[in-house]
Amino acid sequence: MQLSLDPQLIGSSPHIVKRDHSTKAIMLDVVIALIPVIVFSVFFFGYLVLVNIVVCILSCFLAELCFNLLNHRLRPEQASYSKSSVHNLSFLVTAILLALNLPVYTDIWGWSWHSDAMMYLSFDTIIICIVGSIFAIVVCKMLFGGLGQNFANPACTTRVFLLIAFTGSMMAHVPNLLFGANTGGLYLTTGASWLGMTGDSVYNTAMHGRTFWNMFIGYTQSAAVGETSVFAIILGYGYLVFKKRIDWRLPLILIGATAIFAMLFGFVDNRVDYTDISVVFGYSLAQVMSGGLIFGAVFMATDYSTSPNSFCGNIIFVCCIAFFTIFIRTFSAWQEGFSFALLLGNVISPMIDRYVYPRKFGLVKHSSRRKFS
Amino acid sequence: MAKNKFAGIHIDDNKLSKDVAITRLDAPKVVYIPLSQHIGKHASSIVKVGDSVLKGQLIAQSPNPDDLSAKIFSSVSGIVSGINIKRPATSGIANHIQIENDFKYEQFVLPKLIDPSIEEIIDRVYESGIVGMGGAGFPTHIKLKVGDEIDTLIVNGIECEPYITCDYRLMLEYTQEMLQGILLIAKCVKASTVLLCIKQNTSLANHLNQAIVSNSQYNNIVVKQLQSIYPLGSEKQLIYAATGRKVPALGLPKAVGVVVSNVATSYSVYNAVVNGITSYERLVTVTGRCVNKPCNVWVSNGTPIEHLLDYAEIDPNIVVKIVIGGPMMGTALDNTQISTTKIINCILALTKLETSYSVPSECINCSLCAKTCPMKLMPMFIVKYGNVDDASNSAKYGAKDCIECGCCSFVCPAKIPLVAEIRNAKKVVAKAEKKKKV
Ligand code: SF4
Ligand code: SF4
Repeated sequence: MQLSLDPQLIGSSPHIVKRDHSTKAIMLDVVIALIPVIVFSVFFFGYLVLVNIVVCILSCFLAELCFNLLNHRLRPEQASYSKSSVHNLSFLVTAILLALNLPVYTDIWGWSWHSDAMMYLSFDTIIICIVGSIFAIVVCKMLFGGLGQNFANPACTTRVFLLIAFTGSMMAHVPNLLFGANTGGLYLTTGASWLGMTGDSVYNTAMHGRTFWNMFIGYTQSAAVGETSVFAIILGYGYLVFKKRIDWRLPLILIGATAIFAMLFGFVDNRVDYTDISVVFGYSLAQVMSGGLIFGAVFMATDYSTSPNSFCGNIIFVCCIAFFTIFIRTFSAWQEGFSFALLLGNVISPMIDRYVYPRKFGLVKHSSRRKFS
Repeated sequence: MAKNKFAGIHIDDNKLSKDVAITRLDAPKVVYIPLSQHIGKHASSIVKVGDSVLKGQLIAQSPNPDDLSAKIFSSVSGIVSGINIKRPATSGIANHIQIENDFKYEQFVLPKLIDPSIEEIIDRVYESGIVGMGGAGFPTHIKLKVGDEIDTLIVNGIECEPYITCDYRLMLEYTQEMLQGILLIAKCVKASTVLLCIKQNTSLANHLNQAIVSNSQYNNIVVKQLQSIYPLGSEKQLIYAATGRKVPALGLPKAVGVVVSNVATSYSVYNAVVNGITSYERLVTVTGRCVNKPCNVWVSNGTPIEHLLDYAEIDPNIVVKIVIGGPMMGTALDNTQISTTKIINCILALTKLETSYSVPSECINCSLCAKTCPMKLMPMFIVKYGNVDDASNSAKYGAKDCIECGCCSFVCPAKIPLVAEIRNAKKVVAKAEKKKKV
């Protein structure tokens, strides 16, 4: 009997793998989880959000493809369209996260098509999106070796980059131009600008304007479009947990730790009247619900390549982020602390992996260096 | 249900041959018996070309009886027509003894032992060349020589790998013989408790329990059903699931007072002691979606596997991969000339759909491999450091502890052949350690 065995298949064990399980499937799931967030932000901010997303997707796609083609000397295995790394769809996640991390429009040079009441199209924002996409894909991801090799979350790094590059020079004239832009109409109070208030006033605003509810649904004007609706983010979180793409505990630990640190720091900084417990909780809740914290906790702190690889390591990681977030919000001039905090967390994550890893099966506690299980 | 807290994976069982009763495959015209069917030193031939041998007669052994080695027997009666024939085996080219079958099947048997002592049993196990039949092939007579510190014998009837069913059929059809064999082993290691571990399967458990209560001899045998998770059949994981004891990293089961044996081994021990039959055949599952008749058959050692595949009516047009052993830990073959041995328990013919056929991409650091590793290692780091020859870091994340169960490769979304790369890392670590010693 003569069999024609494919020599390519004589590989190492195991000879079976999990079906329908690939990098692409994971990325698609993240995109699906982001759909509620997109829908809510379009509902609150209008079609301009979609324009941003499309621009980001197109420019991320082109940036990654061009990088692959131009980099044929170092990575010949990716240097054609059919073999390019765009097929793992990670650019899609980066692009959507980036678009959701930007304000609906910015007004840096005033190049836009608008009437008195409405903004129809903002060319400034489109330029920002393109610049941001190229930065995210090329500088943050591909230069480090592509998906999985980057040490910092591309969307988050780009947000920080744009924040520093553009707002920094403009801050004198138009405060918070980029992150906290005035969208013309639809808002009660800016998520980020809460953070500048004292605890009491936050609490008062919250109670009287029923703002917690608004923040939950998303009926506030917040800095970046994706951060608006806690409700939408919870839907996405549910989907990711259901598909087992993220560890359900980590976003909750991050949020819980932030709440605790908010109370402590509120006390240190004398922002909150500690005789009134409802003010304390109100302040802490406001800290958690504002800015990019919940969005980032679900979609960015759980990013695979930029977080540690063990569960204990991840707990340390998210606690660091929570600490840095509140620290920055309390003591620095920047109101959006989360992006910076996440970036700091990303930087220390390889170090966490070095020292914190699971105790091997059957290993007894005797070595001089403690190992966490 | 016993506690069972290690990671691992759930795989489709695919036990195609589960309900197929055991049959027997007659040996072919010529058999090629490999000289290494076990872990340890190769046996050397003690017959010459032209000698006539009986079925079950000794044809090769290691000159020194204290060596880690096992005796090898003829599986047919006939004439030796070649010694030291080089033929492909699972691990490269190896020496074989070629025997022409005279189809008379004249049998050579050792004297039957009645009420044997411990020494007699161990000696008989040695004389019969029995090795661990779960796949490792560790010579059983050495395993049985343990001190007094053993209190538990675990008999592995788990078969956690998909497809394989020979142990299951053996437990079902040769229940009494197997239980007798278990008693003999338990006597040797002086174990007071015997745990016969099987996968969650009520009807099999009832069947075994019935056999056990029917005879008061079997009083100390307990059938233990364990929750099905791969790799439950792996020694350390099985001990943990069955007794809650953790074998120390890089240690042996002896350290926690346990000996693990396999149901097929127990059956062979029974046959050797009670019937005086040496180890020259074994039960093999031939399965996969490429064969029309998945089956469990008694196969004489030295039968080329193409013979078995023909017997199971393989469809040559759709087969893309032939694997010896289970799909998770087995070896893929590039030809079908390889002979069966004492330790080949399964032959799989896989279709393209069943097997993995994907191009590896970059690691995305998703840590799924670490989450599923039953040994709690970090495969991505073992591989990462192993690939750059960093032995100390590779060992730190567990290169040496890996049992090569394949869970990590199974779940990896980037389809990285982690197990293959971990084997390389192991070599890197071993090389570095050797250097250190010198
Ligand atoms: S690292 Fe080794 S022990 Fe862990 S899952 Fe992979 S093959 Fe199994
Ligand atoms: S499962 Fe694969 S992709 Fe994920 S961390 Fe492990 S090696 Fe990397």
